[in-house]
Amino acid sequence: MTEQILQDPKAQEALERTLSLLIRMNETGALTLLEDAVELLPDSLSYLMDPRLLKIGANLAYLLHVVEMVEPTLITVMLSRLVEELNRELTPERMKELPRMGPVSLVKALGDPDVQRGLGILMLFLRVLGRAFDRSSQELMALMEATEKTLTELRRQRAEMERQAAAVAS
Amino acid sequence: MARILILGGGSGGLVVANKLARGLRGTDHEILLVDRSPYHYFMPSFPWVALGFKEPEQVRRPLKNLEKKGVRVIQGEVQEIRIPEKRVRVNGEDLSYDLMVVSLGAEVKPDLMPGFEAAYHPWTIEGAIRMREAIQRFEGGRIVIGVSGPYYRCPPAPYEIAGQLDFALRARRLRDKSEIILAHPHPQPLSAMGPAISSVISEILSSKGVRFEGNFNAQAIDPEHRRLIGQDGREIPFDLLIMVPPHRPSSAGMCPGLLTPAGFPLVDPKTFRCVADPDVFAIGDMVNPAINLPAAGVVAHFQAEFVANQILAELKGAYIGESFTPVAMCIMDFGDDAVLPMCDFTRILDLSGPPSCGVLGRSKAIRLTKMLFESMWFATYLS
Repeated sequence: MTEQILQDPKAQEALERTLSLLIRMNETGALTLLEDAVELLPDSLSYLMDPRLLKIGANLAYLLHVVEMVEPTLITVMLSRLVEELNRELTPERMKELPRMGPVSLVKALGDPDVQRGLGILMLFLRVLGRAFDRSSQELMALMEATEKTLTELRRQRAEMERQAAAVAS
Repeated sequence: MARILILGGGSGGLVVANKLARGLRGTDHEILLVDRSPYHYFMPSFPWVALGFKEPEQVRRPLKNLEKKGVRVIQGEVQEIRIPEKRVRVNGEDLSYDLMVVSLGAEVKPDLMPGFEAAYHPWTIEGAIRMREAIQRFEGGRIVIGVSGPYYRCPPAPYEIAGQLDFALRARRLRDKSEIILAHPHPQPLSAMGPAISSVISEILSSKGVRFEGNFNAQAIDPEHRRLIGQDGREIPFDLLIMVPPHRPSSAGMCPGLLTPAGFPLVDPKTFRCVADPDVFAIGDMVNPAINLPAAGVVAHFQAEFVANQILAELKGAYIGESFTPVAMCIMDFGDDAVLPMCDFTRILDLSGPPSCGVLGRSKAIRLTKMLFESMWFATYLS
């Protein structure tokens, strides 16, 4: 079977290419590196499991999940209109002399329906922010309380184990 | 010349044997591994056997393959461990040792729960085959997945089974005629691993229409009336019951006085050396719950690497600077969805705080990683 395969010119070509690749890898030291990696990697999986790296990975994964939750149509329409309006307002001429606002002009600006809509959105955002922080702090407090209870019980069990260990040792 | 005895050919024992075989290559130290089975089983795949996705022979490899690496494999039952004499009784004969790693795992004890004969489970290969037959016979109704107690191998497994069953029933067009209930002692799905993981699992279970019955501590099964009975008096009727069987640490007759009241060997949580004799290490499911680590293969794996390094350092007088990595990762397969959670147990190991847990990814592609991991595991440790 093997001899039959070796008779095939395509197989011969593939083998020749593989052999020449191996020779090049040997000359450059890549083969030695590969040998070492094969030996080392399965033996030291725990090196790759650095808790700090895993935490970074988990946090990044969550942020990506948040991005995944946003509906592409919504984000595209909203951001494109925002960019359009910014381009319309922030012209080079306007940038040369940005409008300044004092207390009087601020009160006057509050009469502008666009500013009123903007403020409405900001207020809405502030309400959502406040509610979300309130809920999360309550949740975290409850979690901390439950954790402390569990840890107290675990510390009691550990102390008992250590007493038993000391008795065995003596 | 030292003789190193490894008891148990599961995740922990297998990794220790491989690492020692590589590290002691060319020396005259002797490595012996004892296991009651001629095979090493890849336990994370047992639910796949139960669901018919894998055959039993695909999830096992002969432990004798270790002999090619210079490890002597003895198939036999560990009857007694006599630490003061540095001897272990196997198949009626005494084996002496200089250093020993005990990694006998947790044993499944269905008899400890009244009425368990009415339940099915994939926590052993025989159980998985039996469960497969029961699922094949199932024509619709209520499936209840229950948990007999907080100590069992692979804490996320019942959640995976619920998800996989949903997928399998939909494929068989039985989902509309079926209900899946998961009854667990935790108040929320996987809540012991914190809200980051719990919320993702809750979302998956709810999207699959799996009802979660929290704070349910199962007490008994009533086979006649087909009900799962909780300690608080709650009763859940079932047509098919999948139940995590009671587990106990396999201390295999270890010397009295060396065990905690719950039957776990007393070890130093920083080195995993037995309190009674520092030449004996105990790792994996038979010891971890006592030091607040989960009963999971991945933890046994990292303990095994750490313990093997301590042994190599001792025998070779070399500094091998690898510390124990108290992290656990698990690929949770829900059939048409998969999650990769991770937990760092550094703080819980020294009791300074809760484990730090998060989700590294959620995608169907993660399921492929689970399949590849099984191949990599066998290729690396038992080829």
